[in-house]
Amino acid sequence: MTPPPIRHRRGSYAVEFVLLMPLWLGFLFASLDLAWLGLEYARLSAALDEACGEAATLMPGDATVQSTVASGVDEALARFGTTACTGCTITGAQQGAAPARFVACNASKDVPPLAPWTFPTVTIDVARVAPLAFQTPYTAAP
Amino acid sequence: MIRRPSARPRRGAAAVEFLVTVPLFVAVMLGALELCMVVERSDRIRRAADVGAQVGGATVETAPVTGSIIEAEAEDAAEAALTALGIDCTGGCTVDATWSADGGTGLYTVEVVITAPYTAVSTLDWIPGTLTRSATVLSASQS
Repeated sequence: MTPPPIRHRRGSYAVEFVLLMPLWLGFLFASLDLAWLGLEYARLSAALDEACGEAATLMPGDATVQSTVASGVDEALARFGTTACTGCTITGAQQGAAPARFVACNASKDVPPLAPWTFPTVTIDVARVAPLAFQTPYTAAP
Repeated sequence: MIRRPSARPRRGAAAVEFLVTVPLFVAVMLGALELCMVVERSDRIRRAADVGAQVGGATVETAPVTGSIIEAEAEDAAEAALTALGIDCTGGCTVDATWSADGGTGLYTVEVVITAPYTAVSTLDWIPGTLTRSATVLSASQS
């Protein structure tokens, strides 16, 4: 059998390139968007960590927990060099049978992708808990 | 002597290479994603254990001190924290608190150990079915 002449492969590399390029570009942009999502998650969780820690310094029964967490998240994000968390849902509440024992904080944010055709808008949810700094060392009834 | 390149047909070689590479690539991506989820969930469990230990560590019992109330307080707080952190305990989480003397130092510690089930998103075999994390803090001086 006679092998095919070399000249028959002329242009085949270009065809393969054209076929594979959109696929690899898709992978590339999807990876970038995934990294962007991770960055947003890291920022929000770090901000919520700080805000929840700040709210944990309030006394048990304090009514300003929610607003402290919300403003704490915005302050932390501003320090990280990003804008305030617009469109975020932030909650904070003391929990545990009286006296309250810890603060539970939640934040969720819709993150649209950088390249709209890679991912749909993803909602990231972050949850944190922090023990109250003023733990009443009470004497529990035996 | 100059050797001429093989003149064997290379038709289909690219497709075969692609078919071999894609499953590998997808497996690596899935593994990375799964690992992130395991680490994230593990971190939540650790935080719940930490809250339980801190709460137990601040509890003071009346004499005679047996540690049972301290342990109950720690377990209650850890369970509440698990719920607050959105940990799904379907399949059964175990929360175990222990109040004990720390060697010969005269100090007491509270240790909270949480075991929670983990359902893997992918079908990778190396993902653990349960995650266990613990936290230990010094206990407050007892009366």
